[in-house]
Amino acid sequence: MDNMYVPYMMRIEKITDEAPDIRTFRLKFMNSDDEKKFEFKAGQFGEYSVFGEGESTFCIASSPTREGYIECTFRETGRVTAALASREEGDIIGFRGPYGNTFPIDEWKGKNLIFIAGGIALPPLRCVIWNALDLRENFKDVSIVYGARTENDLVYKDELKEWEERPDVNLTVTVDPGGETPDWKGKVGFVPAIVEEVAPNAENTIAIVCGPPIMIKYTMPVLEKLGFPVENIYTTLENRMKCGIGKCGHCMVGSNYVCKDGPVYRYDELLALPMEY
Amino acid sequence: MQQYKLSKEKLPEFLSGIIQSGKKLYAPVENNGSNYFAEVKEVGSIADVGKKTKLSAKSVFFPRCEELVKFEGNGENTKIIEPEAAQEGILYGIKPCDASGMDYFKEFYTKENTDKLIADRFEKTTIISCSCNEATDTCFCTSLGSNPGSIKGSDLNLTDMGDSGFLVEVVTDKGASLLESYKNMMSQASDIDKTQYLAEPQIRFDIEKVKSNIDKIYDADFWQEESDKCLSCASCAFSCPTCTCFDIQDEKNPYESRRLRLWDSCGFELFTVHASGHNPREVQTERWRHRILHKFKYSVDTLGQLSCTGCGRCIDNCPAGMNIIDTMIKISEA
Amino acid sequence: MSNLKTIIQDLFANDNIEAFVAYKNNKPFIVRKSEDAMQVDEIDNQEFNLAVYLNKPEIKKLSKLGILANLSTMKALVQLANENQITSDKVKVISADASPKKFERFEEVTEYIKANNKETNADLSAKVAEIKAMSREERRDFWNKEFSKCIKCYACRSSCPMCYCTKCMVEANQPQFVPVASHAQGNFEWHFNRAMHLAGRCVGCNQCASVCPMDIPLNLLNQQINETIAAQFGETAGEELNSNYTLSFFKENDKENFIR
Repeated sequence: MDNMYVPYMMRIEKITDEAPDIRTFRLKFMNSDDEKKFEFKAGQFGEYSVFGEGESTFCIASSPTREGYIECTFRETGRVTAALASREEGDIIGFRGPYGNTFPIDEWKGKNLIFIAGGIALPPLRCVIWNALDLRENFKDVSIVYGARTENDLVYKDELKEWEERPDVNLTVTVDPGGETPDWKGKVGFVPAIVEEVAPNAENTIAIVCGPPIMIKYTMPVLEKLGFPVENIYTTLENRMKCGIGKCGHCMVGSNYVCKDGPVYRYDELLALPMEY
Repeated sequence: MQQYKLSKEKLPEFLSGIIQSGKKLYAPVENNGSNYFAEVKEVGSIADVGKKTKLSAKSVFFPRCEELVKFEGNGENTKIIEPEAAQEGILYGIKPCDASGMDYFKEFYTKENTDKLIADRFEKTTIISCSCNEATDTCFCTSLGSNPGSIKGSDLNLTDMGDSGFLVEVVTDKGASLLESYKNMMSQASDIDKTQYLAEPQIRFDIEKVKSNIDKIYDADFWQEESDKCLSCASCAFSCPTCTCFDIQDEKNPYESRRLRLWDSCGFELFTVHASGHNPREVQTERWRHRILHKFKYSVDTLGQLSCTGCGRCIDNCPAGMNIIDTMIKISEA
Repeated sequence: MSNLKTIIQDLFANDNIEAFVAYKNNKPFIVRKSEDAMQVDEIDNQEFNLAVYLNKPEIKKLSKLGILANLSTMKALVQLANENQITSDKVKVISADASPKKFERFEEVTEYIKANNKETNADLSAKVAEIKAMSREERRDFWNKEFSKCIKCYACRSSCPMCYCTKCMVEANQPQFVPVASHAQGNFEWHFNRAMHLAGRCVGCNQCASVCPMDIPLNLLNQQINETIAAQFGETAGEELNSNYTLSFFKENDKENFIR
């Protein structure tokens, strides 16, 4: 029987501690046939599981241009993520996916890109950031604005350094007031204010925004003020999900199943939905 | 449509024939004064099919707790074990409202991203519905454009014609093939108008007005009035023939782990809550609105049909006296 | 205009209540505006325990409200006061009888309970005695059969005036105390844990059993525990204003004969 709830068996190849309670797993397929058949695009997600503890939903945080593995970054918040966090390199976990729609990265050719992320919402954008950087010649300016509560809460610290050093990426990192140490070289302030300060040119630019609901709420008006048409703003929703395939009903927003019709939304599409996300 | 007549005396023979053929027979059985669907091993234990069962028949296709997949062993040696395929079965004594709910259920679970476990059960189950001779005061199928003799979702339909026995209508090929072995018990019939035997539940609201208002009532005040007494349990959702939502939970013992599918309800506060604690549908008013809009708008958007069949079980079972009809009247008058 | 309607309107006008919990067409009804008081049922012989609404988050957050209280509702209110969930400043209680009366203090409510209390659970007591007389195997089979029906809709919890935890033990999953599934073990652990959580707190309104869509006689569990507590400690929940109710407080002369 072709049972959609049967997971792939994945081996944890590498574990990276990102920030307090946040870690990244690099996963490889146990079965090489599974690996050959597996394809995904930037923006998609999956169900990661510890057998006997449950499944948890995270985006695929690595780029489809990096073949042979997938990565996920998660914060330990509940039963399943605690069980995942207690796994070690070499251990086996389950994965179902990829699910959901994708960022239309092919349509963005020849445009400027600005990525705006807050806290643990960088992982969903990291996938599409690396996807764009690995095809760098397809795009004009690439900017990234990333904020977290404190310096310690910033994820992918090594990659932030790498982006900082790249001449073809404009990176702005900020922490909330009070979240900085005396040595902090980045900005201090909330993401929406920093976006306004950095003031990217809206002309021929696509903005990709992901963060907690409160950050989205205050960032969107800033982008509109800067002249971004709603059709040039994208976000990705993170509603509670169980099945990932449009059946269990948890992620429903209006008649949309975020797991199937999303998680990637253009801002005008998002505005057409009830505010239930 | 092919019609037959089955005498009252022959009905038990027909049903026990099904049991003897080795197929599973699901029918209403009585427990503490209420009827519920269950597998029956002898015809004598079937309860009065005229009485509305407390819960819908969805458990036949969508058990309240089922294993999706099982894991044995550990680490690299973990063995994945899938559930066994469904057995052939007959669902008897389901009311037309419930059968049309099963039709929605099948459509929802098979149309896109087919759920093989549920699809398999639908494929192997023949549905014999029984028209209603009597309605209760919570029945409102007629308000939704259906009727107590509707054949939607049925493979065979039986109508009790009193002393004249049962009218058997053959709705689908599946129904016809089941009947093939039992035709000798029945006599040919034609042009029998069953409407004279059917109940006539009162029309409670104007569904056309509901449809024309449904897009403009999202922010209406009546949602709070209607949901104020709701205590956010799931007795409506769990008794509903078209509530499809579920939870996935793992369990384990030292030898194996099981991944289970369990009924869930959008009325529960925790249904939508994010890992961060943010809840997109924080208050009961929003949850009740979602439930109603799912039945009367969202399922129309996604599958082109209403997902309420007017069975009235949510009204019968609500501890707090919530009444979907009241909400529909408010929408139709908005 | 009836006395009850006048009292409710008066509470809106003079006590600044934001809501009044009553009945309309024999069903619970939350009066949100003074003029809606006209819609409430006049004479009440309803058995529904309206105190449950004081636990609903949307109502609990209000600063002041009123409630129509029959005997079981009053007992629940007294027990909720004992557990520091409500105060007489916040909740205005009106008796649900032929001549509705406003109580200023919970002491008056307990006096009313004393004056009007009647033994209502005699049939239930008889049934409990019947179950106690069963052999262990019979009793196990009885409960297995009843619990096998449970669909975990949680109508019992939602309708219980004493179930006010913001996070129920069944929703705690680190560790998972009670299996989420509605299978035999999950149901057994849910109902027994719930009964134990209500020990010395259940006011015997029987609402858990009357709302159960599967007709499981859950009140038998609570009745058994209530009888034990009455026999061992001489206390009945919801009858006295006493924040040192049975299982909340250690007394030096508490019996220890149950420890074996």
